[in-house]
Amino acid sequence: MPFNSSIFIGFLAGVTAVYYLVPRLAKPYFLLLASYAFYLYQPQNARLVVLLIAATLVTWAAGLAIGRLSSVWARRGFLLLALAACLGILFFYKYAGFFGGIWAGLTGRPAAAGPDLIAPLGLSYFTFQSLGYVIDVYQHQAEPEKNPLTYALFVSFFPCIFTGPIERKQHLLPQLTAPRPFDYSRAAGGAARVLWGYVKKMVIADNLAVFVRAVYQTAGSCAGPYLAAASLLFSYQLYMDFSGCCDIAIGGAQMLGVDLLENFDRPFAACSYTELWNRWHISLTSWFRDYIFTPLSFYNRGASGALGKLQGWFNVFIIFPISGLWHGAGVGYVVWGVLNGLFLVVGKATARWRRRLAKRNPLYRSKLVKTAVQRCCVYLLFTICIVFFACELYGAKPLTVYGGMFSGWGQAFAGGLASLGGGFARLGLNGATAGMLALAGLFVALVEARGPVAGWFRRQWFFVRWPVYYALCLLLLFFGAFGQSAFIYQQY
Amino acid sequence: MWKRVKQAALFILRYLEAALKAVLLAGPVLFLMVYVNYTVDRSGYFQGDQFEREVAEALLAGQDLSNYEKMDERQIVRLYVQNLPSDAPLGTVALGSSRILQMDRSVADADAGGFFNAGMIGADVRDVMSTLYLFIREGKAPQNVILGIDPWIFSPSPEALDIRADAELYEEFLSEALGRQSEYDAPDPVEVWDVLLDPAYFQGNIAWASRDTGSEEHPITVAGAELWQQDTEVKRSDGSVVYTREMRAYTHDEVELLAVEQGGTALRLNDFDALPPDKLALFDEFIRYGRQNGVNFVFVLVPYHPLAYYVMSQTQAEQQCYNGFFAVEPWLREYAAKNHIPLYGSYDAESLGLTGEDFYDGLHCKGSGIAKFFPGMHAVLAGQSGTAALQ
Repeated sequence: MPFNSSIFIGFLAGVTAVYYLVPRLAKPYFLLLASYAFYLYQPQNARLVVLLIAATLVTWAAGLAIGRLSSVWARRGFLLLALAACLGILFFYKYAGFFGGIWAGLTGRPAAAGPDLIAPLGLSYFTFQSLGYVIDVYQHQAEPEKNPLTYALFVSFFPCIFTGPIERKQHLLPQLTAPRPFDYSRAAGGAARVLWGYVKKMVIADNLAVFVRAVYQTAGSCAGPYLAAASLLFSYQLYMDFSGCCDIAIGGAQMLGVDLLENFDRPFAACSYTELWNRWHISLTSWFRDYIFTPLSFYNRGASGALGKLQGWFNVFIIFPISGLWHGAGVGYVVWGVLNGLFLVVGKATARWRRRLAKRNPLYRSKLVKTAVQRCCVYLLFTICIVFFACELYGAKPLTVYGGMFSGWGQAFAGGLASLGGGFARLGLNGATAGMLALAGLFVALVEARGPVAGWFRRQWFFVRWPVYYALCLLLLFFGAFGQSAFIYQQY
Repeated sequence: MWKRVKQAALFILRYLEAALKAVLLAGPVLFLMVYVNYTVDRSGYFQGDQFEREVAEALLAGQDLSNYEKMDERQIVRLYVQNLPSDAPLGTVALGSSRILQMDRSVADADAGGFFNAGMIGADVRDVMSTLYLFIREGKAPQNVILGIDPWIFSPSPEALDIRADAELYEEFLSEALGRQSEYDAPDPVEVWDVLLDPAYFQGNIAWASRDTGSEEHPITVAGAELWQQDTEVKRSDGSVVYTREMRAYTHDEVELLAVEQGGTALRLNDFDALPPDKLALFDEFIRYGRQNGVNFVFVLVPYHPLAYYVMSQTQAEQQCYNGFFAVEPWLREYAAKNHIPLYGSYDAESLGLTGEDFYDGLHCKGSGIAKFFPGMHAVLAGQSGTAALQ
């Protein structure tokens, strides 16, 4: 069931309305039913629901066994079993074709014709969430869950099954097993956040997507200014799309009295690339940190000097190609990951040197200018990487985009600004839309700078809050792009 | 105990407060969306297509219109019927093809405002029957129907059907009115009404309503003497049609040439060799359906140009074709007499005393020509026999 459909709004309202009327003990089971109904609504998921059930059962049983056994080897065995099951499903449905193609390329043999597999939505999310649980139990970070039904709810909780945030057992499960009573303020805040998410996704991201898609799909014939603008705007589009989706998920869960992990913290307010990745897709980044970076660092802890540094950098770097693969089985995603990893490693390697230089930079005497320059640099670096991402999404060739970005500038400006504006309008970004997007983006930035959105709404005086609600509804109604695109991160 | 009751009451109050606020927030927004979608209705789900809507509204307002050639006549009639006040149904409605469209209010001699000619250019059996069904379905059945019967409505040939006809409405008529098996699938009302809550449709309607309409085509209102000065056809408020100035100015020779040509090709009458019993049975069912709904029928056979009729009769004698056509009139006379339905006119203009001067071409008799054999509804209702008018 896509979040940006009227059926989901009706579903969420209905589930919320009934949830608080259900006896307390039955609430988790009602939510489990609702979650599976939500999952099965999508025909492709209905056929592959067995994967969700299998991942749930295997990780639940493995968690239980790991929790009860004291033998290290037995515990490791069950951990490996869970890893093999979850990663096996993920690999088979998502990467078999990709790696098969690479293998065929390397060996010179024709790629074996495999079944045309369609991965169920949310596969990457629920496998990572259940894997995280087993690893936590293995590392004694969490107690094993005895009730398979409540564990099944943890894996399939509908607000976060398709697009995250990737939850942790210690954070989510206690909230599901001990439901909170109805709290008007919490539910209203959740509903406001859902509305906020829709505005970000359907008003800002989807309107930007019209232009970005048009440019990328005709990248070979587009002049530099359009390609540069589309690439810069895609970073913002992706942020609005994904964070809007997370707002809906977090807001929807909040309506049910459940707090999900925050997934974004104004990433483009970051002044360094490391900071950006601490603010972007936080639940995935922290998953990689806890389950890949930390164990790697632990095993490499003995090294010192240059080798230690190299190992540290490698530990940082390796997360990103893996993250790229998590996003999708495509060379573009891997290159995106490699570039991000390189930027982070280079950033870390040159941090001290850059700090020394910054002290001598006269522009940096003004904190405002310094912050602005740093944020622009971070945004540019992010955009350089995200071009590969956009190319995978819209079927463009990165070399064409990068090649085109530096050509045709004189020609585009030859007719003056009016002609350039006409070009943007033809590609779906006219003056009125650009103005609306700028105002909406500014409003979003100003509100989000003041802390959690739901809290901001609840703090406002009634005569401010309600007009803002209506304004957001009308903004959505008049400018929302309806029925145009799914959430980008829903496909991962 | 008391504490629990208090807690439950508090919960219910807060719960209801949340529900009420949700309605207060969503209600006005949804109302705005539904209102715009229903009233602007760019794609014509509820109000009909824009151009046809304008024409129907103008006709109902009593205006004569030119520049309407691109319109969908079937849809105009549908919108006209839908928008007709239900408390004042029409006294008399004429049905048929363009051959009946020269019957205007004065020829029909119906009460002012109580007549509408729902004839359509190229109407086939489906148009005729489904139009009456439409009036009855909408609860606006007229008291009298002047049925301009074209011979091809009995023809089994596919050539007798017009591509413009509303086949869906006809299937509905067969299924819902006559209880026959048809390909009619009752539309899912939810599917149509879903559009009311479609925000994308709302945006389209807003863009449509705020567009620059300067360059668009609209029907042009024709008033007074302008009516006879038009280079395009004029749809009059009573549904009848005034032909172009050029067509009305055809010389005697030009009309005869057209008549001979049309007699030779015999519009929609090829392969009409006999009266098919199933078509006759359907016609009978149609008449009985109308009568059951309180409709009085008056049959009118609009004549062909004498030359056209002559050419067809000669062709019949030489090539043994058009037998079906020549069998229609005798059968209709017998049917009308048996069912006490007044019948006026004949396909044979000479038998009515009409000459070539009474025609625009081989098929279309002038209003003045029709007036020579049709005494008008007042006389019909006064009981004058149709057969007497023939004598």
